[in-house]
Amino acid sequence: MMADPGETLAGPAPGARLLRRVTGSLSARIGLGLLIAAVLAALLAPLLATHDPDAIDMAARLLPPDATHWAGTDEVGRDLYSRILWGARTSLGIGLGVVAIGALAGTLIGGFSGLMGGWIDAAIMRFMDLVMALPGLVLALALAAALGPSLTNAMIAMGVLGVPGYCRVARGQALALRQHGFVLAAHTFGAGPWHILVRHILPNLMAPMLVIATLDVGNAMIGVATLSFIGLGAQPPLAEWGAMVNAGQSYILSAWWYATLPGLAILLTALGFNLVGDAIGSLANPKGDRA
Amino acid sequence: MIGQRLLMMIGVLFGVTLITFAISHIVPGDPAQMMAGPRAGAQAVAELRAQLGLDRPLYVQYLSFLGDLLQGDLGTSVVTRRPVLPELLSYFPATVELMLVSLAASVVLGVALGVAAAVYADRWPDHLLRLFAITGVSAPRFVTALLLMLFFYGQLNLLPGGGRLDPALTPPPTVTGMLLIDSLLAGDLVAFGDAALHLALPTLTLAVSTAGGFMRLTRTAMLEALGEDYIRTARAMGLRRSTIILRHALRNALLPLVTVVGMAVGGLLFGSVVVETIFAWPGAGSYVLAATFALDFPVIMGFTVVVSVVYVVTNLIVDLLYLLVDPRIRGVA
Repeated sequence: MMADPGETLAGPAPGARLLRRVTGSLSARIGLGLLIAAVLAALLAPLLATHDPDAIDMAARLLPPDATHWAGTDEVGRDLYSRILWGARTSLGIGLGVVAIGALAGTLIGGFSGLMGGWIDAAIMRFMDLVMALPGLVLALALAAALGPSLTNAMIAMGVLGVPGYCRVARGQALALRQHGFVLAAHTFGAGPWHILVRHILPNLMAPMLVIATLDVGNAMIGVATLSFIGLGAQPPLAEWGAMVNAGQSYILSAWWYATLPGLAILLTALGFNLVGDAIGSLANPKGDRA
Repeated sequence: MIGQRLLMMIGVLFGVTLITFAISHIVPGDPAQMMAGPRAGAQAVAELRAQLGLDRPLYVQYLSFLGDLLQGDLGTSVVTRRPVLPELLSYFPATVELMLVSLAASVVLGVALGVAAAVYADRWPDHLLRLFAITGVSAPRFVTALLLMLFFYGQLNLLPGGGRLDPALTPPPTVTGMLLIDSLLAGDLVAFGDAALHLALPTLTLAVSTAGGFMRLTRTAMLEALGEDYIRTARAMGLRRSTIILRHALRNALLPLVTVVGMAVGGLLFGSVVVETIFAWPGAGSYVLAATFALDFPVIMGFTVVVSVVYVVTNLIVDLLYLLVDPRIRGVA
């Protein structure tokens, strides 16, 4: 069998080992803390917000952070602290959505490809290699522009570009699983490829794909935030971090808080994902970087 | 070996045309209707469709697209009504200059910090450097750009916040289109200095994230190299520490970096779209972003084709360089 994160995680007590690894080093603990903070902000936004995130107050335009508006206000007087909290919901949701598209499609296609083998497998994988040989974000930009500027389309574009990566891993796993007794047995009993894929291959792909997908949420979030920043993703007045930074950049010199604070929110959340990801990654590859 | 790579590259380039063609044909709605405007009658739309060749079968459209492409015809911009390729190429020198300087800065910064981190492994300089690297990698480029601009331009007023050259200066005569080179050729050191200052913030933005990745890789490779037998031998022979680190360990640690440098070009090309916009850098990135807002598809697709070709060719060159640098691979494939 090939080495992969999923296999390494499947030890005698994978949960405990994983937890110890993630809480073991200071940097991993910081990462976990950042992630928990982002998730809490997303879940508890309605409780933690001090204002309605979309309430316009022209009398309170571009106010610096103070006791009432903890992160200041934007050009139409909306409370930025509340918008950043609600933005956590949007941005994390976006990250999850993008990863779900890529991981689901990638796992299905890769699982199918590995199970079938032969020319079907060869054709699918050469196509995936081709997409991976191209600059992904540039393709995402073209795809998002072609579909039309909207958050859903930006998510689809980023999700589709993630498919080859998941496909490759899923295919490798499926190739290995194909040789296992339970798959051969199902085949002997006359089970069709679709049945084998859904009942035997996919359930066994879940664990490794889930780990990879979770670590990818941060990148997906940044990708869509970047598309939003250049106007191809979230559209105003939606509270999304990338779109907020975009709106605030014209005021960067007069109202520093407007673009900077949502920008820091993206940075810290992505940092959280990367710190935790490195801790988990070093489980799979102990010789690798543990930065 | 080299022939095989070239053949593969032709396949990939062929794929680029297929994918770009596919993307430009998933435009929701009717492009002819979109171009004609909402009030155009059915007759006018049908005429435009015939004029654009959109009434032909898909494979005929693709073949004509491919034929045009081979002749360097990337179509006509919907906004400026000028051919895309010459327009795009006129913006490229500014982008290439920014990319080359950023790539050089990333490699120098990444390798130097990576070596330092490996030498001080698991002590405080290492922890600090790794924190810097992972923060750089995590920060979206548009956030890094705005933070740098706020600090170095807004607060300190040390560096210019946008543009390629002070408007008060006369630009050097265009030879390569890259101001650093053109100003040197003209012997204009004032323009050279000013162009370098204008490059600082966009370069730093692109370099922070790229160098972070290079640093992490260099550190890992250096740690691995420092653990090898030949290093122990070199130590036992009483060689100086700096000789061991730079001459023996670093030379071997640099090998994996070569591949990553090629892949980083893709990220830098996309990053140029964001960074050029923020720093008002008149390059291909700003040009394509303006086209994006106007939904000027020929320009967007032209940019995608050109950038993909640059990326694929760069990676081919990197692969070939790898053969040159690492004699071990030559025999294998």
